[in-house]
Formats: sequence, structure tokens, C-alpha cells
Amino acid sequence: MTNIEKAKDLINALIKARKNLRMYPVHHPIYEKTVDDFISKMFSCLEVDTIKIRINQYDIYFDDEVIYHSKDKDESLALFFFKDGLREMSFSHGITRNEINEFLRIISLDYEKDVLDDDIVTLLWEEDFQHIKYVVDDAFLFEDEGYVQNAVEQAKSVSSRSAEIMKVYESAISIKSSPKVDIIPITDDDIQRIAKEIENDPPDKSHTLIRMLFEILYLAHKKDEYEVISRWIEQTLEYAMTNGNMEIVNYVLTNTNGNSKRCVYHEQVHGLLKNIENYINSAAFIKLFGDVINNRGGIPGELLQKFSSLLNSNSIPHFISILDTMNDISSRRIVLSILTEVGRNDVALVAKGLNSRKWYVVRNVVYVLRQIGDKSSVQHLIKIAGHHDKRVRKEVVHALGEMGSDEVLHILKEHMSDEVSSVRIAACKAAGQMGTELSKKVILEQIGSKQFRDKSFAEKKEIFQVLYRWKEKDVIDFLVKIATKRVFFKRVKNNETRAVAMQYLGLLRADNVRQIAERYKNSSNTLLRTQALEILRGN
Amino acid sequence: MEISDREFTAQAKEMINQLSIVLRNGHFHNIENDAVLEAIIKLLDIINPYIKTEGFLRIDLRGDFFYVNEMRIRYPLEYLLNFDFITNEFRKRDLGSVSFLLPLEIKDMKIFLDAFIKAVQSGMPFDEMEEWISDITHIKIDKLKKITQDEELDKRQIVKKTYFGAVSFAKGIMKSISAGEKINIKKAKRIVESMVDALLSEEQLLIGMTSIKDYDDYTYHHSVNVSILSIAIGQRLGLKRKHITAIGIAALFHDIGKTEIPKEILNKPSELNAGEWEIMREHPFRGAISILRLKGIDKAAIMNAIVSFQHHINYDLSGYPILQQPMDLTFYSRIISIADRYDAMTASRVYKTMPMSPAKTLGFMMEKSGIDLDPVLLKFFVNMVGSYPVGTLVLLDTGEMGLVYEGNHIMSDRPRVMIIADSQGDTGNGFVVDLADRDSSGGFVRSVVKTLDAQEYGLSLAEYLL
Repeated sequence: MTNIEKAKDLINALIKARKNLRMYPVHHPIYEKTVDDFISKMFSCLEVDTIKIRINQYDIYFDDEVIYHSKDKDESLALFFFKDGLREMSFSHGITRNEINEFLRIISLDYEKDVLDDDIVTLLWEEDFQHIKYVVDDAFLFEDEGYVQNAVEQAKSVSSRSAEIMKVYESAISIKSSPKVDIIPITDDDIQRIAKEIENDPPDKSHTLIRMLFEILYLAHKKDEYEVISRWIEQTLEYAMTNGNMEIVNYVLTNTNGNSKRCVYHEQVHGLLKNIENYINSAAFIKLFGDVINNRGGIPGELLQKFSSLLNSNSIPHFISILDTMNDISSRRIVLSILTEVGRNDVALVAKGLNSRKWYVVRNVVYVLRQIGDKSSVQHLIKIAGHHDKRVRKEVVHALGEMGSDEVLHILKEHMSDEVSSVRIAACKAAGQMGTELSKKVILEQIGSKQFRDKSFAEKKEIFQVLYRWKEKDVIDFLVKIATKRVFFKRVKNNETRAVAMQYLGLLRADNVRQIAERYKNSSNTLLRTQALEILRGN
Repeated sequence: MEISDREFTAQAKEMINQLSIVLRNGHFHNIENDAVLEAIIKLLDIINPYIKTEGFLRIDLRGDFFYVNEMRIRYPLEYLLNFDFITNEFRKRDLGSVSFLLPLEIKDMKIFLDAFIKAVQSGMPFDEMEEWISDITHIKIDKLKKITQDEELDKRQIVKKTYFGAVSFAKGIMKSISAGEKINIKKAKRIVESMVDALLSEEQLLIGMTSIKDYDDYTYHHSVNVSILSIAIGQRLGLKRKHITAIGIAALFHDIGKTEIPKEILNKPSELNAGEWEIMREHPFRGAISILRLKGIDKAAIMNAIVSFQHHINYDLSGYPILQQPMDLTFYSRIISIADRYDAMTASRVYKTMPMSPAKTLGFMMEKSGIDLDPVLLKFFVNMVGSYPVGTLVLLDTGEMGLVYEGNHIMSDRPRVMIIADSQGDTGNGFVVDLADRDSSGGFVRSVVKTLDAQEYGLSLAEYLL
């Protein structure tokens, strides 16, 4: 293959590669194959030689012979190179895969896009390829040719006359020397400091930008400036939120939150700052927050805590809305902890979330109300105590147990007869948590009821455990009564109840528990016998 | 085994660094000392595998850069001191390149090192060294290439074109902004790239252009000067091309806020009153607004706006604008602040503030080190412009008087000087002498005995340096 054929081949391969690379995403198989093919072509063409091409407006030359021609203003490779000033390119032997890859990337970009501040020459220059060289016509950079001459002439017009120089010379001999600057050598420490700084210099300057914008907002004194700056603050916020940068969000909130912060600024700015604060508490912004914790997670706890403390109650419904969109339990927990913090400002607003059609949202809201612990939410909870979903009922029962007093005992009592075992257990525990005489009485009634005997062994154990908190004589007497109770029917189920009662008598170290155990140590009922022996062994 | 360019560059840096360590140890110890021997063994371990693969290894010094087998090696910041040392030592001996043709042995390196150390005491260091190593057939040296007058003239033309092209562009930008027109960022980048290229090859010439202050439209020259000086600092710090360009652009736009300051204040020939100063001090934040208005919130615009806002804020956060809350000064802002301060103080012609000589300015800035300016970056800057910055008027021990024409950042007290008066005080054609030149006995031909303030005497630097 002659060199001219190689050059033609290379240009054709380049055109094909450029077309494919613009069409397919980076990891697409066709994209990858195109790159590999072009690299192979480049390597084979440059086995020994250097290929140098010259570029004209519509033509590409090799050794004064046209090897490519196209006047198509969108597709012409020649014009694409030419318009940015490229006039010559050479590819030499030794070119690396990385260089070819980068070169292909550069020529496949869409330079017509406004967002791109670079042209092809800039990108080639930044890469500083060792095996791809180019010649650029920079004439367009220096359009004002007369400027150099005029500037030089003007500067030189103030010429120093010989007589002046003579005068300077004479005085120079006699006058005192100006101080010379002593060069302080650069030390290894200096180099380390700078190297570290370069390494740690964050490419994202949003932190500095947001601080600067607030400073400018303070310094500005025109209405249109205030407006444009507040818009930039919102844009920066949005960018920061999208990238999970809570420090910036908190910084903005700190500076916009409340009248006392806002009054530092000009009166005309107050409304704009209020708007920014509203924006952060808006549905759109909180949705962004939800997306971030769904996709990125990992926001430090202290930043989230600060964020929560700075939000206002307008955000509550929006946080409740995003509960529905959380991907996993850890994201949901973040939202719940924020709702708990913000919700303290307006429990009634949080309670509105109990109207959600989604059971899990309702359960989350109940959880939040429970965490807040404000007694005013009890009335809202009572309203949904009969929720169709057992998980909600259970959460409500928990909450009522923590927050309620005897007036909710009738609700708990109802739930002690719930169709679902876990709800019944929860209701008993909630009553136990209230710890009042009345709640004790309700539980004793439950255990003493006929229906209790038929419950599962596990449920019985859970409910007896609730009694453990009282450690009082009437409770011990009650347990003794249960432990020694004889029945004619359903003896097995009764023995279960007796065994659990005996176990708790043991735990409460009741005086007569050994006596009872002696009575059952030879029982034919395994459960009862085992429990009795345990007590006698002192376990 | 084929290695990538990146790996090779890393190896090449190691080679030059280790060669520097060998030469440095050879200076301080006897050649037979263990420290020297260990350094030689390490050097051979690095270079011999490469020589075996490639057949030869050639290290060239061209301008301020080393080339290893024709690949230019950027000096890395972590090796800065060793690179400076070896550059200096090569120059002292007029040594332009060393080629190693076969895998080396310790004894070869010892002979080379011995010759290298002895040569510095000789009046003709290169020739003597070449003679002393002539028995080793596989180490060859070449003399440092001196720039001929024609070449220098050509380079000066290119540098001048680059400089004034940039000024013309800066003027265009300022006018476009005043007229509310869009500006061409792509072109700005290309302009800055041309300045970076000029700095890479002709650092001192381009820095020299910044010392001339005799222009009517100095505001535009100031933007370009600050850009050049900032790029030079970035270059000295070993930053990547992309970052150097970003600094250059930010510096070019740093004073853009001045387009919003009324002309009568901006160009007032007398001292500004308190009210006028207050308006003048708005230009950093006005600049930040202008930049963000032009481009919106994008990465480059953010950086440029921050630099514009921060360039008059001191290292200790005093200065202006007065901050309501503390904020970090970015790395770029601290670099550009130094360049801005230096150029402004050596140029002030408006507001009736007295311009200072470059040397006095540096002295003043050093006094403010750690207060107004970042102390470490300032050190780099002072090392870069040297004890005698371009434009300093000097009296030499020969009785001649001259202007510092080109710095020497390796031997900062030995710049190149344009003689403007001979030992009798008569004016001549303005020939340039190198204070690093030595006579046959090894002593320097000329040395500075006194520095003077050219501006105080109304000497036109443009006449000599353009």
C-alpha cells in the first residue's frame, strides 16, 4: 500500500468513525467496535511512517494530491477542521490507543452546541498529544492588524532623550541603591503545601459561589440585580440539591430563614429571600431531595439534622408525599426523621397524612406522630384506630400506648380482641406501657377471661410478660390463682396458661412459687413439668 | 515491552530527578562516598532498562525544559527543587544535552560525574568536560544552544504579536460587555492558549512585555498582564494546561466590573474622593454579576465570577468587598490577586497614586506576605520574577548602566541586561549582555552593584523593550 493510499484509507476510516461515534452512546457495541476498528487502521497505517495531511476549506491533501473533497457544510470533514483554523495535521508512528481514543472523542463532539465553550483546537491543545501534531492559522485571533503597530508607536512616542539618560547616569553613580529583593528559596514544605492544595482543590465551586451570591445580594442596590441574584441562588440550590450537597442547602436556609436573617439585607430583598425559603419548602424541591436520597443516599446525619431544623411546616405535606416514592427502608427513615423534626411545629398538619390511601404512608405518619409524642395527636390516632390494615392498627396501638392515658384504654381494650394476634399483643403491651392501675386491671381481666385460654402459647407468654412490670402483690396473687386453677375441659390449653403463670411467678420470685412447682414436678403434662423443674433447679 | 506515554513521562521525570540527585550528592561528597554510589546505582536501575529497549537515552535542555528522547518533560512540582538544580548546573557548564548509548556501568558514571564537578571551576567548562569524558565512548555531550540575534528577533516578533493580539481582544471584550453584547469565550480560550504557548517557549520575553506601562488604554493591558503573570505562576506550579488556561481566562476577565464604573472615575487623573472610591470598590462584585449574566451558572463562569469578586480580598479576608461572612479564597483568586497587585502597583498612573519600581513593589508585597497575599504563592511569584524584575534599572560593576531585559529564574541575580549607557555615561545602541556570562578565569564578566528606579527618572521602557 502506498502512503497516499494509506492516507485515503485513514481519512475514510475517520469519517466513518466520526459518524458512528456521534450516533451511538459510548458503551454501545457499535461505538466500541468503531473505536477498535479505527485504532487498528491507525496502527497499520502508521507502522513506520508519519502521515501528514493538509487542510483546505473543502479539501484534504496528502502530498499535494486531494484525498478528500466535500462541500457539504454539515458533513465535510475538511470544513470541520478548517473553520476552527486547523491547516495541517500529522499522525506519527508510536501513537497510543489512548491518544487515538481521545482524538476520536474530540472530533466527535457537537461543537455547534451553545454549552460547549471549546473548539476543536482548544481540545487538541489541552490534550497536548505527543504523536498528533497540527498547524493552526491563528490570524482570526488577531484581526486588528494595525493595533500592534499603533500601540508600539504610541508607547514609544515618549522617548527618553540622551540628555536625560546622561542625567540619570550621573545621579546613579551618587544615589543610594534601591533595596534588592532577597529571593527566599522555595522549600519542600512549600511544595508539599501547594501540591496538597492542588490535589484537594474541589472542581465544584458551588460552596464559594453561594457565599459570594449572598455577599453580592448584600452589596447590590438595584432591583434587577436583586432579582437576578436570587434567581442564581435558586439555580445553585437546585444544582446543589441534585448533587446531594446539603451544606449549600443548609447555608441558604440559614440565610433566608426567618425575618431576623432577612433584615440584614435591603428591604427590597426580603420578599425574594422569603421566596427562596418557600422554594426550599416546596413540593418541587422536596421531590428533588427525595430523588437524591433514593439515588445517592449517604448524606451525613448532622447535615440532615440541621436541614430538618431549618425547614418550616410548609414542607410537611411534601415530605409526606415523597414517603410513597422511597425505594428502601434507609431512605424512608431519613424522610421520617425529617418529618419528626419538622412535624413538631405543626402536629395537625402531620396528622393530615393519616388520610392517605396508602396503608404504609399512614403507618409512617403514625410512627412520626409517635416519635413526636405530642398528646394532641391522640385524637387523630383514635380516628384511625380501626384502620383496615393490621400493620396500621398495630402502629396506632403502639402510639396510643406511648402517648395516651386511661381515656384511650377502651380503644386498647377493643384491640385486645383484634382478629390479629400481633395487634392483640401490641394492645396489651401498650396498656402495660401506660402502667396505670386501670390498665393493669384491663390486662388482668384479659388473662382471666375464658377466651384467653384458647390463645397460642406464644401470645400468652407475650401478654404475661406485660404483667411483669407490676411486681405487686395483687399481680402475684392473680398469677398464683391462674397457676393453680383446675379445669375439666381444655386441660392442655389450661396447662399452657398455668406453665406461663408459673414461669412469671418464678421471675417475680414469689414466695410460694417453689410450693407450686413441687406440686407439678411429676405432672404428666410436659410443659407444666418442665417449667416446674426449671423453678426447682433455681433457673 | 511497550510502555505508554504517561508511563514514559513518569519514568523520564524520575530519570532527570535521579540524575539531579547524583549531581547534587557529587557536589557535597567525595565521589567514592556511599551516598554518591547509592544514587548512581539507583540512577542506573532506572535508565539502563530503558537504554536496553530504546537503544539510547538523550536528555536535552532547551529553554527552561528538559526533553527525554525528544519528549518534552514538564517539571513536576514535587521535583521542582531538583529540576531547578540540574537546570542551573547544566547552564553553568554550557551543557545542552547528555546521551547514553549503551547500558551504563558505575565506573562510567563516576567518570562523568567527576568531569561534571571539575568543569564548573574551568573557564571553558563544556570543552573541558567533553575532553575529560572522551574515553567513554557511550556518553556524549552537546553544547547548550545559544539563541542567535536573528532567532531572538523572530521570537520577539511572535511574542509581541501574541501580546498585542491579546490586548486588542481584551479591549474588544470590554467594549462588547459595555454594549451588552455576547462575548466569544472560544476565542478568549484560543488567545489564552497562544499566551500559554508563548510562555512555555519564551517565558521571560512575554513577562518582559508586562513591564511596559506606557500605554494610553492601560486598562486592557492590565488585564492581559495579569493574565500572563497568572499563567506564568500556574506554569511554575506545574498545573495542567487546562487549569492554566482557566486561570488565564479568569485573569483576563478579573476587572470586567470596571466596565460599569463611570469613565470619569476610572480615568480620573487626580486623587479619588471617598465617594468615588466607594464606587470604584464596587467593581469586583459588579464584575461577578456581569460574568454570570453573560454565561449563566456554568462551571467556567462560576470560577471567573468568583475570581472577579475575590481579587481585592486579602489573604486575611480584609480588603474589599467587605465580607458579611468569612469565605474561602479560591486557589485561582489567590494567584490572580498576586499578579494583579504586582502589575497595578508597578503601573498606577491614574488616581494619582505613584507607580513603584518592580523591585520596590516586590519588597512591598513581601512585607504583606501572609497578611494581604498567600505567603507560599508569593514566594513562587518572587522566585519567578527574580531579584531584578524586567524593567529594573541597574548599574553594573563595569560602570555601565542598563535595564533588566530578561530574567533568569535559575540564577535570579544574573539577568540579561540591555546596556543603555556605557561606562562613560554615553548612550549606545542598546546591546544585551548576560550577567551569567563568565570570563576565562571563571568569574562573572558583569555584576549588578546598584538598582535604580527607571520610572522615577522617566525612562521609557517601551523604547528599549518593544
